[in-house]
Amino acid sequence: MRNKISSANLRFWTENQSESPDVITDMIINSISDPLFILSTQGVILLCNTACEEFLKMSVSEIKGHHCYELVHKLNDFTEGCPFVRSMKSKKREAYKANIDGKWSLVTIDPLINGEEDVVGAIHFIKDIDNIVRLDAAKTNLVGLVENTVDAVASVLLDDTIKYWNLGAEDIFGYTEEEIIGKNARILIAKEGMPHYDEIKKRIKAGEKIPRFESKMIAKSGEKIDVSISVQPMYDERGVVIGNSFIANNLTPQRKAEQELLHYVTEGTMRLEKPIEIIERNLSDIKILLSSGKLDSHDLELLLDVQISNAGQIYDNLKELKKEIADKQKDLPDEHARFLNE
Amino acid sequence: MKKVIQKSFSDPQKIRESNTSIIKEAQDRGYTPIVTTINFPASILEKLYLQNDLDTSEIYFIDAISKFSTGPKSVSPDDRHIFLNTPSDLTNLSIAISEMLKRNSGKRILILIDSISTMLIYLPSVKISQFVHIISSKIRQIEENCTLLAVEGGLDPVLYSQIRSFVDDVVEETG
Repeated sequence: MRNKISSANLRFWTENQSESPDVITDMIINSISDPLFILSTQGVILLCNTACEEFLKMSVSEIKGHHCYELVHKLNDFTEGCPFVRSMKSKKREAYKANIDGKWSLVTIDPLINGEEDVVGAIHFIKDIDNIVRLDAAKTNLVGLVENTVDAVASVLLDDTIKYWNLGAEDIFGYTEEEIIGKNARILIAKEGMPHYDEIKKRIKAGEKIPRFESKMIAKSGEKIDVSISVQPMYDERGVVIGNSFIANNLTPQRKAEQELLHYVTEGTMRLEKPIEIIERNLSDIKILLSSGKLDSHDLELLLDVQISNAGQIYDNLKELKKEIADKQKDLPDEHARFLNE
Repeated sequence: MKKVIQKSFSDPQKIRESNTSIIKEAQDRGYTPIVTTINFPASILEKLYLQNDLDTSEIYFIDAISKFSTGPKSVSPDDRHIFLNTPSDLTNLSIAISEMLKRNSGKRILILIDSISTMLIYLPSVKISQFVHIISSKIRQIEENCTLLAVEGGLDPVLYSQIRSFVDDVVEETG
């Protein structure tokens, strides 16, 4: 932006006021709530508003006559990349974001150019953008968190169009953001889950709170995925529901672990219950055969050796099964892991 | 003709008696029995057969338990006896069955497995059902007259349903 002082216009306006031009100028610049300095081409402060007093903790009269770098940056010369220096050369607005005393400010320098296109000074404006920067950072962090969470996070409009799709959703469902944005969300819903999906949409639209529920969804591969879902309504600036966002937690690994556990329990029971029954039956047989005189002491010894081998093997089997569980289930609590590895 | 049969007993105590009675019936019908035992050692079974007046000279044994339980010195293999190192070695068990079938080529054969449920002590259920599947397929491929009979006292439902799908018939004996 170029600030051309039109002396004719200013003279016309001030001549029609009861106050002097200097007073008018003071009134104008003091009405601005952010610090504003009028600088010479050497960077000397010629004029400043009352907001500068608050900003620099100095009176206007103390501020005037100093270089801006002395008071703002507490330095003896212009900072590297100083927008004032750049602006004097470019004759254009120069700006940068600066952290002054721990607060973020937007520093802008607008050169003052006379009718002969000469730079005669500059307006130095410091706008407090600390809240904006911090909000922006918080928003960026939040977006990063949502974007990178392992859970699938997505938003869907009322017409079922998918509008947002995070990395967790990519991992769980296999669709990239480019593939899925703009597509109909129904491609993710299992046929049997469709009536429930419609019901949830209706309830969301009615402003109803939906408790977390479990369902099956369809991945790009066609695989059905067990998920735990929480759905929240999405509003526009008028507060009208325009769709919903959902967070889907993949339960498939948990389900697989449960199935594995069931397998271990079944296998453990099978390799314990039946073998013990066999040993019991064999010992009964041995007793009957012994009492009927069909076995001698050598036979008895041989048969007992077999039963001892059987019992030893059952013990080894259970130890092996325990180890297998401990090896496969890495997230076991310590006391369980210790027991299984014993 | 049914070639692979599983005979199930609701009363497990009857199995020991049935082993002897099946061998007797098989011999009466002109079958040569090959007894694969994972349960009682062959020497004991042979003694029990003799006590029941069976002709043991025509009974063949694959003994998978004696050597494992009592050591290699306690057994002496011959034409009628093959001893395996361990019941868990299904490859050698399959080879031994093939060897016995070869030795008795041209005869009517009954292979008696005593018992599949005892195998559960030494092997996971999935390997046992794989073994039954392989042996059943092998028996079906044999031109000669050969029947595989497994006598069981109530297998666990999981293994039972797996094995059921491989056999030609399941004979349920009540009482």
